[in-house]
Amino acid sequence: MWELRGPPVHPTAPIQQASETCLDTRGWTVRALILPRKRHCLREPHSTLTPPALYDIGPPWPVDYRPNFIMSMSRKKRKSQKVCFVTVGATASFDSLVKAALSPQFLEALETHDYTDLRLQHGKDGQKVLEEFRRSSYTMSEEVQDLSISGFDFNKQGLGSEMRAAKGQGNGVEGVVISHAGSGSILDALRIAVPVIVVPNPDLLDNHQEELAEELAIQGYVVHGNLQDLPAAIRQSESLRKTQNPWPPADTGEDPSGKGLVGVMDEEMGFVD
Amino acid sequence: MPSLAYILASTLILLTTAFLRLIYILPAFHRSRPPPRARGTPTHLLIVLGSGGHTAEMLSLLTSLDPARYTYRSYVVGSGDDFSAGKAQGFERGLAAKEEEEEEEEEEGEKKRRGTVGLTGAEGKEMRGILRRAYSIHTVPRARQIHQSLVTSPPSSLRCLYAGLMLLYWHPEGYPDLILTNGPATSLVLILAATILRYFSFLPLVGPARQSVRGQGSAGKMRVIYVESWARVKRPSLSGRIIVWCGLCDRVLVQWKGLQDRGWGEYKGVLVR
Repeated sequence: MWELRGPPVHPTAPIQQASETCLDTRGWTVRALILPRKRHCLREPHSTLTPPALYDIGPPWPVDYRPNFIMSMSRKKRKSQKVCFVTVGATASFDSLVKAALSPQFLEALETHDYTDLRLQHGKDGQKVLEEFRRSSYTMSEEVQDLSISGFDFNKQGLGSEMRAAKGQGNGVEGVVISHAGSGSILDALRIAVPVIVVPNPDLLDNHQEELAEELAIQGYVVHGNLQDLPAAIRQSESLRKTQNPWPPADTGEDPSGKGLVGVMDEEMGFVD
Repeated sequence: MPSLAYILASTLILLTTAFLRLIYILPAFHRSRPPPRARGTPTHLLIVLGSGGHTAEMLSLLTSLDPARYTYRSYVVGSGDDFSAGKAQGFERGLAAKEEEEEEEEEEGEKKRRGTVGLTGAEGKEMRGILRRAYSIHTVPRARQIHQSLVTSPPSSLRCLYAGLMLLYWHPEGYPDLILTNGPATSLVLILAATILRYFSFLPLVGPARQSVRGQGSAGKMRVIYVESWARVKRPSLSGRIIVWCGLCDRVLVQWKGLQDRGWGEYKGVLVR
């Protein structure tokens, strides 16, 4: 039940102030959620009408009776979602990236940059790494435990929805995508213009992926991440957010028409316009 | 009984002729502009899809493909590669949807211009339905399984080559005008098959009779465009090197300027979208 203790509120005072927080005797904060319904009982401060005796029957809006400590937690949850999405691709396993993404240093770096979610596409073998992390995660500091960590094997429908979540579409702010150096994943991220950290897999034999990551970083499309120092990459990605070049690049080489492949195909077919 | 000199001489002449023929048909020695072709002429484009990465990149290369110009598309996938086949089907569905939209717009514009309903109706719909189904997906045995050793590779390559020859020879639309590939192992074999058919095209069984399926003198030339993967920044891929060194393709496109600077292919901007 709603009970008002303490000095009575002046009847002409705006209700909004009175209802924000009222201290109960038990030390709980009684909080009224601000809802549109409230407008029904808002009185004009200088209204000539006699105010209705609202406090006898209690407020017509829902009241949050939860104790202070629960409220403080929910307040933290309410901060806007910021997702860091890690993908290792479908073809080769890349456990070292999953491990690096679950390292305490990296999680703390995420926390300092206001990330709320860490989502992992870990592939078949990465499952074990994540489970191991879950078992040992009680040693983590309280700050890091606030981060919600989830993982999945692989989505055959593509990773578009995760990428969009990292972009912050729906509810939330723009996060980051940490990708292996596979061209498909990098392109997916570049197309929706979310900051990308590309981490080449050092175990792969013919490492042309390293070259791709380097070149893209030089041209200012991605951050070239390093397994040993992912927190630094997170810092760099915050500055990339402001300077990232739009995709696709405008440079078309020695092709003034800019038609690209279709132009060459038309030439070879003999289509002349 | 012919003398040894006679046998030697005839073999030499045969070899020389065979060699000259090879030089004549290989695109690397014989750069020719294709004869001009009128708009709306039926054409046949063959697209070789490889494993996951190759397929995804190929389809993103083709986003601006105009189905009104490339009226028939054949897709070749390795057997058991349902992923690529599904992707190709999805791509074709996208093309059909795009076409339909454009047609509706055109139709509406036409109605406005003429003020009456034209002869498009059930008949037109049917025609378009036929056009929209203008693609086929073919499977050939894989040239090399993913974990196959090189010892067992030649027989499977030969089987793949045979399937490629049969596919090209018996294709209901005749020989393709253009073969587009970005370098999976299957494409090497298919291009080899196309070259063999090109080599023997002076035979009536192989050449003109088959080429004139669509009543076009210039049709069925099987020109080859090779697009180097976007992931290749500084060094061309192995299949790219083989195709170029053997002189099997008419055009080589690269997607990084660095490759062109090394004298490898033409750079026309980044082609993936």
